[in-house]
Amino acid sequence: MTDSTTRQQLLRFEGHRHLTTRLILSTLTGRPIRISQIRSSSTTTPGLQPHEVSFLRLLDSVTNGSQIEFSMTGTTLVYRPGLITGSAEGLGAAGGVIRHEIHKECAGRGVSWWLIPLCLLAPFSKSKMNVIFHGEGCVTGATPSGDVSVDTVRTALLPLYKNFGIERDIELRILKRSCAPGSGKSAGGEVQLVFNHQVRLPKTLHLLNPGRVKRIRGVAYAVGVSGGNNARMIEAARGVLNKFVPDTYVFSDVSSAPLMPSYEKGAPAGAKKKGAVGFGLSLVAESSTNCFYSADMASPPSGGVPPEEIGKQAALQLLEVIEKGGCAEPISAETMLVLMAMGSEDVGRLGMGRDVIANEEVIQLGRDLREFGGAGWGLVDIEEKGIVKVSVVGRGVGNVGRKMA
Amino acid sequence: AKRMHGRDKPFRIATLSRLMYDMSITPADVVKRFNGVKEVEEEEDEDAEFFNKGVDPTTLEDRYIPTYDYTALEDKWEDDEVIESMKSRFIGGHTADQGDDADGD
Repeated sequence: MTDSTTRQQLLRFEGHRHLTTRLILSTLTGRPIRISQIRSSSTTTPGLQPHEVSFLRLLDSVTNGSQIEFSMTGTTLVYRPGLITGSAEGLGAAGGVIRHEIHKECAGRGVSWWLIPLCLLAPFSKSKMNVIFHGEGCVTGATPSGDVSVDTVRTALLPLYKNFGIERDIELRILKRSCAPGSGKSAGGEVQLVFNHQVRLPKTLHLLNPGRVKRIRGVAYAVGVSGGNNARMIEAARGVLNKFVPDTYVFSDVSSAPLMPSYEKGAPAGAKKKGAVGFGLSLVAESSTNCFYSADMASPPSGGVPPEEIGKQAALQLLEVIEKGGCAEPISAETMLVLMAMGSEDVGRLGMGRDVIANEEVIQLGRDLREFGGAGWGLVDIEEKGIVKVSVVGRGVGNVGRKMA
Repeated sequence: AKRMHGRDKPFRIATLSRLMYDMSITPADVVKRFNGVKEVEEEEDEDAEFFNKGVDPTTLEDRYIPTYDYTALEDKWEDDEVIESMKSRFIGGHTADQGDDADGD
């Protein structure tokens, strides 16, 4: 935006992992970054993948003045962040809504891959954030590539923002459901994220008591297949979980396959085609201190797995996550730690399970945060609770660009 | 420390905070070292690599849900001891006779 910020020293990173995290941190701190060697050793798919390019486009539409440069092969990326404007009129938004199309090639990833990082940007945005994801690559269910379903984002991740004083007008609407499609097929889901609570700085978090799990909620979804699948998944999941919590309630959502306009050759004008079908289960356990643990499982695109199996695996996954303990599950660790790091200049504390903190992604996040100018984390054991106290010093900047504007 | 032949005791959180910001070690190795799987693992790995080449870490993608071996998990959660140890993580008053109908709030 201003001349003084345009030529800052580039922070250098390598590799394709943690791409969204780095881009988000760059946008939040206002530091330009250069990422090199993105899949440079791959012979089949070198450089940025379609879903990553799509994410960059999304960043471009929610910010103003970002500069994105790729090298010829896409193995090097330079990103100079701009202001986070959200869905401000006249900057890519129509009627206060940004419509982000996810193309067919991106269907390998679930829409949560875009949503989770976007939610991290939203509280720091200049104006309201209102984004609709749609298109042939928009998968709302869990995917084999390890993305959680939109239901989990809605029920296990968004409530976490309340801990940081961000709680008003936040909504995630699932307009059309879709499961993971097979290769070459289309998904066709539609999701709307409304995030209208913008803050100067998130509150300092002190969350050390994981509490006890008091209830389990969940959503079973069947898209374009019989609703009986839901009942079978729920039954199997309850079979495992009833031993632990009697208060288990799983909602059942049956919808027809999403329809999309067909642009195939020879199809009559206005023809529609069906998106991906399947079923899946999202489970969320809530503790007495409002910590969440989640699990997600969906039928693979190739099919052939009975719903009982999916239900049981989701329940087992949930138990495994609860066992890891702490106040943040692996999926939410990034969200919590980044928000803490962006908080006011004060020490926030978060109790985390050992296996959650001693995890590749979290360690890399710690390193990246320090790279972006944050202080190192302090780790202290709390023996009697079996958790690790992570102390994170906030940077007290919020959104750099926002302050200037 | 001498008695340990300079090797770190696994599961000590101080070890992790030291390793965490040592940029010469990759995050994957930090986790391995922290969990104390060092020498033994590596030998096994060599064998495995010889036969099936293993998975190249550079081709791995980010994922939110880790991959689990569900048959192993199933066995684990059938075990009464494991179930007992987990009971403390749940609100007590476990009443089996409350029936299937959980009351939605």
